[in-house]
Amino acid sequence: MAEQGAAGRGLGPLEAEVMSALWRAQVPLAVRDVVAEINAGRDAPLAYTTVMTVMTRLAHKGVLGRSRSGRHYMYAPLAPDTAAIAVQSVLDEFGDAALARFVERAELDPRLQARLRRLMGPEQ
Amino acid sequence: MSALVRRASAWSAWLAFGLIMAAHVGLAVLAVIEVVMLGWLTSTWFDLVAVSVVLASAAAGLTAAAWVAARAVRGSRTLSRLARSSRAPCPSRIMAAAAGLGPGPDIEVVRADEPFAVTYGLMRPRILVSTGLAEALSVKGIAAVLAHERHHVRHRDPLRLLAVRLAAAYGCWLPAAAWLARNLALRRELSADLAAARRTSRADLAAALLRLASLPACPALAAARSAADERRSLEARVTQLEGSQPRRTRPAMGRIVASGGTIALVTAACMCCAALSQALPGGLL
Repeated sequence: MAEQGAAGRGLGPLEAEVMSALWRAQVPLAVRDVVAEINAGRDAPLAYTTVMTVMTRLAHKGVLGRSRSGRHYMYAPLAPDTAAIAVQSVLDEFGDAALARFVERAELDPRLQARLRRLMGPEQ
Repeated sequence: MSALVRRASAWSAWLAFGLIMAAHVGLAVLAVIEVVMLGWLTSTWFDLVAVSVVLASAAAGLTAAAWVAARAVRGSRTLSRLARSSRAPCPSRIMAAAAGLGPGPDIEVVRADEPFAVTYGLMRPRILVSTGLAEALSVKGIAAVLAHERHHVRHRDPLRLLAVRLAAAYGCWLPAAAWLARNLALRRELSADLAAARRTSRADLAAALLRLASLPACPALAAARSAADERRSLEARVTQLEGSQPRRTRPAMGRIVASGGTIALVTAACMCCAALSQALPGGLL
C-alpha cells in the first residue's frame, strides 16, 4: 500500500493516520479499535471523541464505509490507498468546475434502470 | 448546412454576450468615476439607485466568474498532478478497448476502485480513467465510455464547459442563468453519447451508463449538487439513446419573469449611468 509516500492531498494528518490504521487492519474496525491502534504509537494520546469526529467526517466524505454492528458502527476503507482518495476527492470537489465526467454517481431510480436494461438488448 | 447555421448562431450568441458583458463592465467603471467626481451627496436618490444596481451586478458577476475560473484552473492542475504522481499501468482490457477504437489520444490511468472516466484539461484535453473501470465493464462497455470521452477531447469540451460556466457565473444575478448552463452542459453530453453510440453500439453505451450511474451517490456530493438535476440529465440521455428527442425543459415561469425583470432593471440602470456621464466635467460620452 502506498499510504506512506503520497500523504493524501485529500486527507488531513489525523485523517491519514486513521486511514493507515484501517488499511493495516484489513478488517472493519470500531472507533475504539482505531483509537487503541493510533495511541499505541503516540506520545500524547488522542481522545475517543476526536477520533470519532474524524471518522464520521471520513464516512461523510465517502472515504469510509460504515455498518452498524450492535451498539456501534464498524468502519472500513472504501479506497485502496491515499492516491485513490486524493483523485476521488478532487473529482468530488472540482467535478462541476472544468471537466466532463462520463456520468455522475446517482443511484439510478428503478424506472430509468429498466429503460437502460431494455436498451442493452436481449443478450443481457 | 444546418450545422453551419447552428455554429454561426452559437458564435454570434457568444459574441453578443461578450459585447453586452463588456458594455456592462464598462458602465460599472463609468459608475465608479461618476461617484468619485460627482459625489454621492449631490446626486438624486434615483441616480444613487441606478449607480448601485450597475455596480452591484457587475461586481457580483465578476467575483463569481473569477471564482469559477480559479476553481477550474486549480481542479485541472490538481488532477493533472495526481494523474502524473499516481499513474498506474493501463489494464489490458482498457488497452484492448482503446485499440478497437483506432488511434486516439493517450489515456491516463489512476489506481482507484471506483470506476470512472473523465475528460479534463483546458488547453490540452485528456482522458483519465480509474483501474476500477476495467473491472466494472466489459471491453465493449469500456470502448463505449472511451468513445464518449474522445468526443469530449475532440471538441475541447472542458474549455467549452468552462466558458458556459463563466458566462452563467457572470449572470449569477439572473435566475435563469443556472438553467442555461445546465442545458448547454447537457447538450455536450448528448452529443458525446451520439458519437459513442455511433462508434460502438447503443447497447454497450446503455450498459456502461447503467453500471456507472448505479453507484451510490457520495453523500457530500449529493448535498453540494442537486440530485434532481443529475437525474433529469440522465433521463434526457436515456431518452436520446431510445431514439427519441429528449424533452426540452424550460425554467419555471417565475424564473423567466424574474430574469426578464432583472434584465430590464439593469438595462435601465445602465442607461441612467450613461446619461449621468453628461454631468461629468468635459462630458465623457
